[in-house]
Amino acid sequence: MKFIHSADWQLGARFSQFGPKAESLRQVRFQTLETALRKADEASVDFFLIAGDLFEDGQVDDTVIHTTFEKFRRFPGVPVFILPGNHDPNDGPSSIWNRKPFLTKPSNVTVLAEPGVTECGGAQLLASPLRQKKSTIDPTLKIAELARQPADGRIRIGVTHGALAFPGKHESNDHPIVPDAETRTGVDYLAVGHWHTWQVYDHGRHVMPGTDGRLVMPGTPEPDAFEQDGAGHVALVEISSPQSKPVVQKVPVATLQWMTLDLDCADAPAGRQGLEHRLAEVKPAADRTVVRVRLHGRVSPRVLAETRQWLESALQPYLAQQVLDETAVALTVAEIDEIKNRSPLLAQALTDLAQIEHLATNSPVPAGMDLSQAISSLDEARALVSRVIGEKPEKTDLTRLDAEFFKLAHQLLSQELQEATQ
Amino acid sequence: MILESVELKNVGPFRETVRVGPLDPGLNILAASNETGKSTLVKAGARALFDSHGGKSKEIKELRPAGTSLAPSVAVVFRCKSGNYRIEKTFLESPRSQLSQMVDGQWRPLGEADQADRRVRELLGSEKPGAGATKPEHWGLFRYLWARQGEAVAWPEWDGEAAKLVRARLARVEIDPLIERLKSSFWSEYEKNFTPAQGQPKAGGPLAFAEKELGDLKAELKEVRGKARELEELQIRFQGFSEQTTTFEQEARKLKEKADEIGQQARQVELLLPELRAHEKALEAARKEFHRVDGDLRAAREAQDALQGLKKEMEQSEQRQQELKDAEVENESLLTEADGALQEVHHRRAGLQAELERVQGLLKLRRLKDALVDLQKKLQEAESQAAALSRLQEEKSKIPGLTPQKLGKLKGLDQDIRELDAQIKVVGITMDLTPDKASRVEVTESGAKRSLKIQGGVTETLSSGQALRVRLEGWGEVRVRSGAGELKDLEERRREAQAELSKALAELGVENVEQAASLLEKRKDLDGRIREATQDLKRALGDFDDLDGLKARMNQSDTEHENLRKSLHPESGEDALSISGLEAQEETLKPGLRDVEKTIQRDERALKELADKQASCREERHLKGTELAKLSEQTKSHERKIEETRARYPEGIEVMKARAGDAFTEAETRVESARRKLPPDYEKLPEGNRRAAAAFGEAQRDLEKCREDCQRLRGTLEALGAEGLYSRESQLLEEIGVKKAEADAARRRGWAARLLHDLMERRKQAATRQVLTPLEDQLSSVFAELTGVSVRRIFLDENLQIRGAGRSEEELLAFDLLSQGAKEQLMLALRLAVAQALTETEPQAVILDDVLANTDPVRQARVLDVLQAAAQRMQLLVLTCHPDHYRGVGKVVSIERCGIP
Repeated sequence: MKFIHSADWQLGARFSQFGPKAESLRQVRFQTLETALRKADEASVDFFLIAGDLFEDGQVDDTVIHTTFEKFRRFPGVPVFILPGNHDPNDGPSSIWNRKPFLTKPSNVTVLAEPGVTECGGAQLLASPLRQKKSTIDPTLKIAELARQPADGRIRIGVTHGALAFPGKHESNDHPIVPDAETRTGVDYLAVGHWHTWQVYDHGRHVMPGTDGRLVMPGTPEPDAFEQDGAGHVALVEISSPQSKPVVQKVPVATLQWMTLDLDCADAPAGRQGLEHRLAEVKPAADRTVVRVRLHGRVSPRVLAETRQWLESALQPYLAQQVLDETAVALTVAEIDEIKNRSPLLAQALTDLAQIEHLATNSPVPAGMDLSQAISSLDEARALVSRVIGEKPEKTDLTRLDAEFFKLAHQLLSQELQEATQ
Repeated sequence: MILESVELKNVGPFRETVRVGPLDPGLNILAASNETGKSTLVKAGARALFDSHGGKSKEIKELRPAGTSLAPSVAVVFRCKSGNYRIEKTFLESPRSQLSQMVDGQWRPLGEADQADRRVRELLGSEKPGAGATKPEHWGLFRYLWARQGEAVAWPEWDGEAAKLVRARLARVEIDPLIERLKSSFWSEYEKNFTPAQGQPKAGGPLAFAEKELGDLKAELKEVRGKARELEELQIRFQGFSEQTTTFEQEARKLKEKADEIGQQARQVELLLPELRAHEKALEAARKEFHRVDGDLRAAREAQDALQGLKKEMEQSEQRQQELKDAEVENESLLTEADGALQEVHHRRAGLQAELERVQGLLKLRRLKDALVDLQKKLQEAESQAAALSRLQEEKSKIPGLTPQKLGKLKGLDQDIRELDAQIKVVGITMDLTPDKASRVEVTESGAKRSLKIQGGVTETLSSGQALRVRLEGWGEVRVRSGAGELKDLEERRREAQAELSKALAELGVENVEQAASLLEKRKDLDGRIREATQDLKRALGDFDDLDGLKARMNQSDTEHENLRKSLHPESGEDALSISGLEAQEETLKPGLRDVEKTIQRDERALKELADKQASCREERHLKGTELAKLSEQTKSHERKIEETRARYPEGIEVMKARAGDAFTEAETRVESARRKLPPDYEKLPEGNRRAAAAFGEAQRDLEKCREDCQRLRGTLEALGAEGLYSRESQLLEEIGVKKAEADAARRRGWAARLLHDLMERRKQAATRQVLTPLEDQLSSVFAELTGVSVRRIFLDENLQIRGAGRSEEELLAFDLLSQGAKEQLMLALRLAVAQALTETEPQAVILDDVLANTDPVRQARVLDVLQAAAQRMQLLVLTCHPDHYRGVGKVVSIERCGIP
């Protein structure tokens, strides 16, 4: 028999860090579900198994459920078995599985809402759904209990959701599952969901890629964060007969690619050139790419402002973007000298700014800047800042002004200076 | 520029040519009365220097003499660092302008008309106005150096190139315009989002707008999260209800089983209970019969026992009665014997008592007699002391009533007389008479005659005041008269004193003062002796107040003695007994009497005890008699009761008891047998049955209620679950993230702009202060010299305008609030400071046109000092209508009439 084992779709998930782009990221996951169902259909699987966390939460909007059903309806020949996980547990009348849309769910969909044995394609599905978000009880105990009934020569597939109980790698109330649970329950295959990266175990030992195992956690089919290796797959499982070793195939289904690119602002032209090159490579798949650009290096405010402005347009075509500014903003010695020559008073004000930045963020003093004539008293700095932020001096905490703030101040100054020069 | 001279023609009041000059390079005083054209001279000079010769403006026309169309001509000779120049201008009619330079002592033309005008502007750094006449702002540096009439307390604006030059000279550095521009930009940026005063988000600004939206979103998020929490709580409650439902179901099931079981048992009991009740009734009857027979048997046995006891008791009572009777007889005999003995002792006590009383009477008689003798002795002594006292008092009564005060008065008068005598003696007549043999002399003084007997060879001195007449025995009369007038008065006073002394002596009955003193001493001595005699009499009287008391007491004692003696009739032997003998007898009799008293008490107690014992025996014997009668009655009663019981049980009471016991045992066995057929606690079964049914009912109701609650909660949960709270929360969080970023960006941008602005402002202020301080020092110093007040400091603002004066910034008095005089002086100080700064590159002329109108005379004097000192470095032209204020300083110049060369 052949089936797809997936888990952790987290449909309706939240992407607060992407603001207005969050909805696009949510929609992509439906697209990925469709991809996986299509692949299942093409592989003529006996069923499509979802081992928990189809939904990000039991309280997702009805639209999420309807869209999901719409995807299932497109593949009526693929029986879908859904197990409630810790994100969408069957925890009572308010549970998602009791919601009205489920009264008219697609005919090919079965919700394994209660523990029990379900016949499918000549095999037995021994399901242990989760009833709550947290529990210290191993959910495979229920499978072991169900497995006491005679198998009658059928293949037995256990399905549940939880963390593998490796010391130090799980929380005690995270539905801990003994790593050799497939052996203890005596099933031919134990389909587990929870962790978001691909995991295969056999007799409690991690199985190297390419080797088959009986306990599989396929991870989330659609990565939801940067640097999430091992996500973006479903497992295509083939079991020829009871007690035979299952053949597990890692099937990529992810729609999005999450990329982190670096830009060294210390040499901005070269950095931009390199970044442009990398972006050009992925530009054909821009609508499926989430880009994060990490700015670093010591940079002058003017260059930083220019770089950020350039990035804004360079990243525009991509589905979602993030800019991580890890630069250290500082005027160059030449810039400081120039300002000193142009306006000694401005140069003095800049030393004061550098001193306040140093006091607030403990940042190093820029080379070429002499702070000996700058504001020296913490009280004076606090009094100055208190006027700025509209607080009483005794209540003013300098650390409210972070490195970002001082970058902005430098950028503002740089911008105004530029305009003044023009 | 230094002014050398100014010449005018057809200007103001001057139709002829007038000139002021040559002027001194130092201090020049142009003093003239009002309306003599001082200010006109300065105005016309300025027109010549700064205005175009072709100008026809109102100001130029005003130069003409009033009501004429004459062409005003002005010539000014001045010196610059490039040389000496002369500018001559004629305005309005045939206008002309000519500039000449002194070269080798000759004026050589440099240019004419517009060229001349332009060249002068170049030399003086002035500007050409767009149209019309020049105004001070076109005059370059002279705008600040020339104080025109009426401008004493106003300082021109610091604008234009000349102002920049002056400010740069004064304050050395200029504030970088870049700083001002950046500050302005940053402030504008800040004001987009914040209120300048409070630094709060500005209403309608992007920040306030974003914060408002953020607030709304957060409120909505809070609501959604509240619902989510409510959902969680409801879920927990639902789970609780579910578990409770299961519990109630189990409980209800158990209760039902229990109620069924109890009901079954109750029905069984209902069938068996009547049989048990019948056996129990029979058992009760058998128990009663047995108890009745047993009671009778016990009563009969008790009555028999009691009868035996009563008989024994009666025997004992009779025996006791007899014993008491015997004791009574014996007691009677003892009582008679004791009474006799007591009577005898009473006799003995009466004899002893009589003997003791006689001895005590005799003793008292003897003591009274002795006391009487003592009283007689005391009376004799007291009477003797009283007689002595009486004598002394009589002696004192014979002495006149002299007192120390009276004696003092006498002595005073005597002393007065003596002093008057001495005075008379000094001023009066003194006559020493020394007869050869004893002679009698008759002296008549002031009409009084006296006779003196003088021994032979003895000198008798006679003194008198005004006149003395001495008749010498055997010789005749000698009359001596004094011429001293005052003697009459002295003698008069002496006469009065002598009369007063004589009167006082007569009143007291003494002859002279010495006798009075002696008698007073005697009186004092008598008083002492009387006090002593009085003390002696008091001592003799002792406790008695006076002699009469003592006598009365003695008479009383005597009477008492006589009465006692009569009552005792002592025999002769008794009279002979001494007091100590009598006391010895008394002491001998007293113990015997006490012993007899004790014997009487003891015998009386013994007699009483015997009497009590006899009474007790009699009473007990009476009681025993009564008791015996009662016992006899009881015995008879018991005997009757025994007889009656025996009569009721003809077959014997023991036999009847055995039969009743057997019947009871059989009934008991039947009851036990019936009870064994019933369940334990069968009596509580009906109640248990009712309780079990009620408990089951309650559990059923709880179960139903729980199910209803569950159902209700299920509906609520389903409804809440369908709201898609998570998705709503996600959406809100994402929107909040965007809005928060917007608000943060606006806030950060505003804060950054404000920080940059404030930092620049801070540095600018510090720089301004740094450059202003020396100028302020200079101004403060000149102002101190002008005012004589050295503690005040002058404060300038960054525009070099005077802010005010004061000891410190905090005590600063604003310029506008200073007095007019102080303002004038401050302006003068600033003007001199400006001139001083400019003089460093070129000599300068300062014109002060009546600028110290409000300065008091004291400060005016100081002004002269300052001006004199300043004149060492610059040219000063002071125009004044008070020549006296400037007398003695500088060069006095005047407006001289002459022709234009």
